[in-house]
Amino acid sequence: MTSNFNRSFGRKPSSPRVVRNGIRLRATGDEAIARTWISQQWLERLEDLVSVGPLCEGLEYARRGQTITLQINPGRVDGHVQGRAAEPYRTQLRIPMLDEQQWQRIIDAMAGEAFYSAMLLANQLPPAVGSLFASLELQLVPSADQLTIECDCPASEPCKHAAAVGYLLAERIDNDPLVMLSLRGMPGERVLERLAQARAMRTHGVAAAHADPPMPHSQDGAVPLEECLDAFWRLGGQLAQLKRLGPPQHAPHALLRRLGPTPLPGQFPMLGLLASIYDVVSRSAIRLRDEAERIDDESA
Amino acid sequence: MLVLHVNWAQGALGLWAESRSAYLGGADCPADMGASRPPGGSDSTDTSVQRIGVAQAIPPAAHPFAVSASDLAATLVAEDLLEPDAVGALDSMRLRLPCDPIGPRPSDRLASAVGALDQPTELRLGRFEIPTVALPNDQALSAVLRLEDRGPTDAVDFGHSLRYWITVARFVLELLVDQRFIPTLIQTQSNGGGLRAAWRPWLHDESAQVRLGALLAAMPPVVRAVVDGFADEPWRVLHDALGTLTDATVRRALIGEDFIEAIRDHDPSTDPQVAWLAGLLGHRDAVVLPQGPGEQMLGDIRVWISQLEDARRPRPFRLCFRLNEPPAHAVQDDLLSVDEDLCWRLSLHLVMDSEPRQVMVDARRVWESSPSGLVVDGHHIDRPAELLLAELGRASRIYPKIAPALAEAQPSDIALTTAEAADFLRDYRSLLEESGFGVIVPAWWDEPACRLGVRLQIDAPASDDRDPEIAGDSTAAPCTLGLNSLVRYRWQVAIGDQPLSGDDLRQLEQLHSPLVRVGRSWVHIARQDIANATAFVQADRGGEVSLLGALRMAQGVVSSQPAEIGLPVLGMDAAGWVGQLLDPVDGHEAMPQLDQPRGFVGTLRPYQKTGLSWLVFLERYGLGACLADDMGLGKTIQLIALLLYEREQPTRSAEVGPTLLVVPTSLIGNWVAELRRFAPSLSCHVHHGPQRSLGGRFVEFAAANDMVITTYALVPRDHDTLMRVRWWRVVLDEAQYIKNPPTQQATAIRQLPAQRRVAMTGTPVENRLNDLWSIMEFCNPGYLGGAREFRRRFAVPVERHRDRRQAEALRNLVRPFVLRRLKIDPEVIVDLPACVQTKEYATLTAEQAGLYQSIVDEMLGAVDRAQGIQRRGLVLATLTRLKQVCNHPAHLLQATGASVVDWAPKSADHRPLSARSGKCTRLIEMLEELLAAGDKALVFTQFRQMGHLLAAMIRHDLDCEAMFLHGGTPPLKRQPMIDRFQGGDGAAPIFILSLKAGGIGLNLTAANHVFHFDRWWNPAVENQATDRAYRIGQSRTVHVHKFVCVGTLEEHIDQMIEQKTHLADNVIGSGEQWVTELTTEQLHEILRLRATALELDP
Repeated sequence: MTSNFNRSFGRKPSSPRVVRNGIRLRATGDEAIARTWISQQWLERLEDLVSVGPLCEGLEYARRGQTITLQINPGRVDGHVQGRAAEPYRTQLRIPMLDEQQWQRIIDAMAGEAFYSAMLLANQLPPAVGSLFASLELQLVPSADQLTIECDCPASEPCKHAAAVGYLLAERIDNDPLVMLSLRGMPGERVLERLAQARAMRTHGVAAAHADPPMPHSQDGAVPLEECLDAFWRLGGQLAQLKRLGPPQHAPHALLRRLGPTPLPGQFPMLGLLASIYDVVSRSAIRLRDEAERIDDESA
Repeated sequence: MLVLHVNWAQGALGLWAESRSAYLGGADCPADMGASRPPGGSDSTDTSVQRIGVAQAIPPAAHPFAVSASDLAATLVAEDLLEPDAVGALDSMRLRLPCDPIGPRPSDRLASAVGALDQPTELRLGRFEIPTVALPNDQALSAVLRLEDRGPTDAVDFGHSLRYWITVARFVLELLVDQRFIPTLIQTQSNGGGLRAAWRPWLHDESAQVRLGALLAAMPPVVRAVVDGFADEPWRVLHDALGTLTDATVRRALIGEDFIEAIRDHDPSTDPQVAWLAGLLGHRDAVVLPQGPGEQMLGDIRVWISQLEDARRPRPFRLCFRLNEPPAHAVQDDLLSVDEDLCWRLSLHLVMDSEPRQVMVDARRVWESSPSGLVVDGHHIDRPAELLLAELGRASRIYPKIAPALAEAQPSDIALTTAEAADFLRDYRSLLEESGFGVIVPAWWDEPACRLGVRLQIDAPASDDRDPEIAGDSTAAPCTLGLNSLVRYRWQVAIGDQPLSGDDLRQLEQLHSPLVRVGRSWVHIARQDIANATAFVQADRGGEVSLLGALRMAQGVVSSQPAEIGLPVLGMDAAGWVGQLLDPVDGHEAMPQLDQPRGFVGTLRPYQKTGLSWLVFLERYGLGACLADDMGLGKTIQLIALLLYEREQPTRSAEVGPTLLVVPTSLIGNWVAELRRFAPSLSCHVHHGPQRSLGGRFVEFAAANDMVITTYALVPRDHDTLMRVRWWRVVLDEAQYIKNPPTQQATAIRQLPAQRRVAMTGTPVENRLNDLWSIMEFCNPGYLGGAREFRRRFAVPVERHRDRRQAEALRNLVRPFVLRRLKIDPEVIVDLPACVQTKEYATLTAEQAGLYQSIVDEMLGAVDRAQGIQRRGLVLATLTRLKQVCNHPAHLLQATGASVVDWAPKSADHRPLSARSGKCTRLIEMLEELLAAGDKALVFTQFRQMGHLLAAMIRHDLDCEAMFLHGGTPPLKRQPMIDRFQGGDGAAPIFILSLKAGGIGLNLTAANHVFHFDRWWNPAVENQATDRAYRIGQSRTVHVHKFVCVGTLEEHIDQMIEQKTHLADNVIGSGEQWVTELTTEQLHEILRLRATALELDP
C-alpha cells in the first residue's frame, strides 16, 4: 500500500521529500566535517548517542539539505527536518547549561590570562579552553549522558533527524566555535564582557556596566606638558568647529527607546520612570541654561 | 585685577586666580591684599629664597602671586560673578606651571595686562601649591554659565582655561537637553566590590565623537597641569569631568522633583531594579543588592547598555529600509491629491558601505539565494537569510511594524498606510539610523520645510507709482516714505511658496492624511494647521499696516493674527519697490545701476557702483542703510561717491545739506585724506580737538561744508551744539562702536536730527548680535524691537543655543538693510586686483603729541650748537625717538630703559595699553575686523621692542595668539612658527615680523593682509616684505596697509615720496642719512608737529 502510494508519486521508497534551499553540509565527500577539537568532541558524543544506522542516514540527510531550519539557542538546538512524511519533523537536541556559579569560576579563571580574551576576540576556542574547563572539573562539551534528544518522528530511539541536526551543528561549530559557549548558557560576547569587567576590576579596581566611550580621534596624541610651554595657557582654534556644528539633536527618548526594558528581574515599571526622568532632566537643563543667562533681565 | 583660571582637580572644578598687583610686587589693591601671603601658613619670610626653591619642586612651593582662596571667593561674590552658595570648599591644588629661575611665569592674560614682554629665557615646569575655591559639582554648570554671562569684569579677567570649561559646561548641558545620558552601575574594589549607581553621558555616537574631538584638540595645556593620577592625559581629564558633572547635574534635577518618592513603597531587597533606582535618584549612590554577587547585575545591565553600542560595531552587511512612495496615478496633475488607501512600501535590503558605491541587495534575493552564501558585486555574504533575520529581530525592538511582518516566512517589504508612512518618517527613521540601520527616504522629505501656512502679501505704497524711474533724483521727497509708511496687506494660505485657493483648502480639509501630495511631491501637513488655516481665511480680510510692521510680521517677530492661532507665517510677497527691496536672490543687482559721479577722482569698481546704487535706493525710500562690506573693499569711497552723486542731481541739488560723520578718533586722519584724494570738490570740517568751535560758530561751519567729521566721544559731550543742525545725513563709521559703553553715547547719537542714516562697519554684524541691534536701532529705529525683546528672541537663542531657525528669521529680517560683500564673493573677486595698497592715517594721542613736541623742541634747541658727527648723531637719534613716539609712548620709554612696571598703566586705569597710541588703536581695530572674517595678517615693524609690545597688546585686546619672529629668534624655532601660521587650524592668525629678519625669503601666503606698522621709507624694502604674502601660491587679493601718523614726520616724508620730489630721491636711496644734512629750518619743517596731529584725549 505504502509502496504503491509512493510509486504513484514517482519517488523511491527510501528517499525523503526534496527540500528546496535546505541547509546542507558544505563539506562534501571526503572532507572532514569536524575540523576543531570542539566539533570533534561533539561528534564523538553524537556517535555515542545515536546508533550507526540512523547516524549514516542523518549524515546523508545533512548532505542532501533536508533540514529546513536550524536554530541555536542557549541550552538547545531546534531543527525542522524533512523526512518522507508530508510535514517536516521537529527535532530538538538539549544540552545542559552551566549555572551562574560555574560561569563565574570559569570567568575568574579565564580573566587571569589575556590569552583567553584574545582568542575569544579572534572567534577561537583553542584546546586550552578545554583544559581550563577540565581543571575546574567542568566540561565544555557535555558527555552523551547529559544530552537529550527529542523528535516527533515515529522512531523510538535517537533518530536520523537528530543526527542530521547534530552534523549541521558540528559544521556550525567549525565556523564559529563560540556557538558552544552560547549553548552552555552564555554567548561569547557576554563572556567577553564579563572578562573585560573582571580585567578592569583587577587592573583599575573599577568595573562598570557601560563601556567607556572610545577616545575621539585627534591629530596627535597628547604632547607631554613639558613640550607645551609656549602655548601653555592658550585654547586651540578647534572650538570654532564646535560652534559651526550647532547643538546635537536626537529624537526624544531616543536612547531609552533603543534600550527597551531592563533585563533585571522585578516588577517595578522602570521604563516609565526612566522616560519621565529623561523629560525632567531635559527640561531642567533648559531652565538652568536660561536662568544663568538672565534671559528676561533688563540689564542686557 | 585678577586673572581667573579653572582646573579639574580631585573630582571637582577649582577656581584659582593670579593677582596683578601681587605680580607687580605691590599690594595696592585692597581686594588682592592676601595675595602675597603664602597660603597654608608657610612661615617663610624671605620670598626670594622661596622662589628659587621652586625648581626642585619638593615640596611644591606656594605660588607667589596666586590669590588666597578666601579673597578669591570674596572678590567673585562681590563682583556678582559667583553666588554665595555656589562657593564650595576653600582648598588648594598642585599644578605644574611654566617657570623661569625666579618663579612661575604669569599667564598670557596677566602678562599682556601688565605689558610684560616675551623673554627668551629657558622655561621649565615647576610644581606649585595653589589656593582654590571649589565649585560644588551639582552647581558647577550653573556657576560656570553665570561666570560666562557676567564676566569678565574690570576686576576679574578670564584665562583661557575658564573659557574652556565654559565650553565643556555648555556641551554637558546640550547632552542633557538632548537626553544623551544613561543610568549605569559601577563596581569598585576599594569598597569591597560594592556597587554604585551613576549617570553618565552617552558619548559613543558620531555626533558626540565629533564634538569631543574638537574639545580634546582645543584643550589648553594648563587644563591638564594638575598633579594627580591623570598623568596629563587630556582625554582622562575630560572624561572624568564629563562623567562627574553629568551625574551631579542629573541627580540635582531628580532630587528637586522628589523622584525618590517613586520607589518609596517598593522593597529594594526583592527587586533589583528598585535597588538600582535607590542609587540613581537621590544623594546616595550605593546599590545594596538583595542577594548574590554584583557581577550578575553588572553583567545584565552591561548587556542592556551594550545594545546602544551595536550601532558602532562594524558589520559588513546591515539591514536597510527604503520607503517607496505609492506609484503615481492618474490624478497626479491636480494640485492636491491623496488617497488614504495608497500603499507605501517599506522595502527591506542588506547594504554594505563600500567604495566607490554602496553594495545593496534586496530581501527577495536574500530569500531566494542559497542558504550558505550569496555573492553581491564581488562581496560574499555568509548565511544571508540568517543575517537578515537577525537584523530584523534587532530592528523589531525599535520599530513595531516589523514584528507582524516576521509572521511571513520570507518578508521582503512591509506595507504601510499613508499615516504609518508619516509616522515612520517623523518618528522611527532617526531612531533606526541611530541604531545603525540604513534608511532611505524620498528626497522631498529632507527638503527645506515645505509647510502649510500663510504668506503676507503687500502692495507697495502708492507713492511709488508717481515716479517709477529712480534714475535722476535721489533726493525726491524721500522721508515721507520710510518704514512708517502704510501698506495694504492680506494673507494668502500657501504650502511653501505655492498659494492655495479656497477650493484647495476645502479639499485638503476633507483628506484625512498627514501626508498630502502637492503637485508631484508629498508634503507633511498637520491636521491642526488645516483647521487653523480654514478658520483664518474665513475671518480675515487684511488691512493696513506700516511697512515696518509688515516686515516684522513676515518674519514672525511681532505677533500677527495667523501666528496667534499657531499658523506659521511663511514669508512675504510684495510688488513694486518693496519687492525690489526684499528680493532675496539678486535684489541689490536688480536695483537701477548708477554711474560713477563725475566729480569722483579715480574709478569705482563695479561692486562699488552697486553699493552706491543701493545706498541711493534705500535713502530714496527713507530707509536707513548699513554698509557692511569686508575690510578693504572701499566702504569709504562708496560713501564719498554718494555725497558727490547727490550734489550732481540737477533738480534738488540746492537742498542738499551737510553730512555728519561720526568716527573713532583713530580714523579722522584717514577720512580727511581720502576725501582730499577722491573728492577734492567736497569741503569738510573736522570737529575735534580742544580748539573746536561750539554753538553758533559750529552751525555756520556745518552750513558751509559738505561734511562735518566728529568722534563718538564728542557726540554726547557736544550734544547741544550738534543738535542745533538739522543734518541732511548722519553717518557712523566703525558703527559697532555705538554699542560701547557708556550707553548715553548711543542714545545721544540716535537723538541727532537726521533725514538720512547710514552705518558703516566691516565686522560681520550678522554674527555679532549686540552690534547688529545697536546699528539697526540707529539706522531704522524700532525695527528689531527693544533691546530686551531682541535679546530674548534672537541674541540668546542664536548666539548661545545656536538656534538655526531664529538665525534664519533674523537674517531675513535685516537682509534688505545690510549690504555685506566679502572679498571672496565671485562678483567682487573679478573686480579686485591681486594686490590692493592703502595708507592708514592715524592720529597721535595727547600723550604721544606731548612727547613728540618735547623731543622736537629739545633737538631744535641743541642742534645749532652741535657740529659734524655730533650733529648728525643727534638728528638720527631724534628721528628714531620720534618714530618710537609715533609707535607708542611705551616704546620710547622702554627704549630709554624704563622698567616694565613704570610704563605699565596704573592699576586704576583699565584702558588697554593700545589706547595710548593712535596707530596701535587703529591696528587693533583692523585686526579685530579681519580676524572676525577669518583672515590672517603679517605685521612688519623695524623695532624689536615694538614687536614685543604689539604681541602683548594683540594678545590682551584680541585674546589671540600673535607670534613674533625677529633677529633673535633661533633658526630652529623659525620653521615651526611659519608652519603654524600657514597651518589650517587658525590658532595663530597674526604673525609679527621684524623687517630685517622677516623681510626676505619667507613664504607666508596664508596671510592676505600685510601691515607696515612703521616705515622704512624705502618702497623696495617694503615691497620685499609685502612679497612674503603676495607671491606664487597666493590665491586671494593681498591687502597692504601702510601706517602713517598724521601731522608728523611720517606724513611729511610719505608725501615727499608720493610727490616724487627731488628730496625723495635722496630718501629712497640712502636710508635716513639725508635728514642729517638738512638745515635747521628744513629740519623744523619736516619734524614739527602740525595741528592736524592733535587729538583730544577722551
